[in-house]
Amino acid sequence: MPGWTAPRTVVRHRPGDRVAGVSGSGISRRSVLRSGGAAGVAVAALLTGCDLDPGSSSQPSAASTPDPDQRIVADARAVLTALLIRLPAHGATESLVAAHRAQLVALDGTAPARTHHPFSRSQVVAHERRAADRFERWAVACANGDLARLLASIAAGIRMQPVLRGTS
Amino acid sequence: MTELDALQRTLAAEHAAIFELGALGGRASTLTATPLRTALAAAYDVHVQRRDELRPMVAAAGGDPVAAEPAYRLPTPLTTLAQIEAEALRLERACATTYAALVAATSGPSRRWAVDALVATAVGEAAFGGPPEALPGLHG
Repeated sequence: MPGWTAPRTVVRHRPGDRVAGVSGSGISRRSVLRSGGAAGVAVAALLTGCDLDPGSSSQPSAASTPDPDQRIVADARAVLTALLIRLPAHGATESLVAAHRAQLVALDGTAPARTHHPFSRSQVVAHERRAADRFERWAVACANGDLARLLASIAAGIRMQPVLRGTS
Repeated sequence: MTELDALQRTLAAEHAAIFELGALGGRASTLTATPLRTALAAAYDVHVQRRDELRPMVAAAGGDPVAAEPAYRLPTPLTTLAQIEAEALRLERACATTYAALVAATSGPSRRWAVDALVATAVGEAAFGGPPEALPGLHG
């Protein structure tokens, strides 16, 4: 991907280090997509097909060589949007709705304003599990590492919801 | 960061996690909080298993698996149930961040492993009182 620089992870372990050394690279909770950092630029390129390298060709790269990651991002947004339309924004699914809104924002999407024909509890669980499966598959399949990290995090964010763990 | 670097850092994190969870389990043994002790023991077993899985992954990537440090500094104090539980949650969240970084730096089977580890760790945070998050592993 032109002009892209992978974010750095710096973790040092020295004798006697506190276990705070257990960490990965710092990345904004608001996601790789909305940040002004390299990762945000990278996925902005994914979303727009823009050529970010000022020294390279100005030909629209997306038109000539479609990026499979673009399709994944579009599908990921569509899945979250479809879920938000059918999830009751109260009770057991309240935190799920909040999570999906944040996840959609992280993918640079816009949350739908209204809910239609809300899911039953069993439908919520089935659809959310299916969504988590898809996000995990996309995380493994996509080419861009930062996008993979975001998609995997979304899958984890879905699976840790109480409604999926049967504790709500 | 190369895939090998990311695998080595994750292995180093597992060494630290195993050390700390062992210490937390020892501290918790003086308390009556059986659910917490059970959760700490389960988390310890999971991290030992991941350490054992990571060693051949590092070797397959062409590296010499990093060894554990002789000791790691623990936060103090760790005397109450709340302190032990909070430290365990901090540790698991740190591991989730490490796995998320591994997702970004790898592909294929190693990425699949990292995705599974991230998801399982996020789900397991509930055992230490962790509330659901929208984007686990992306903070910090």
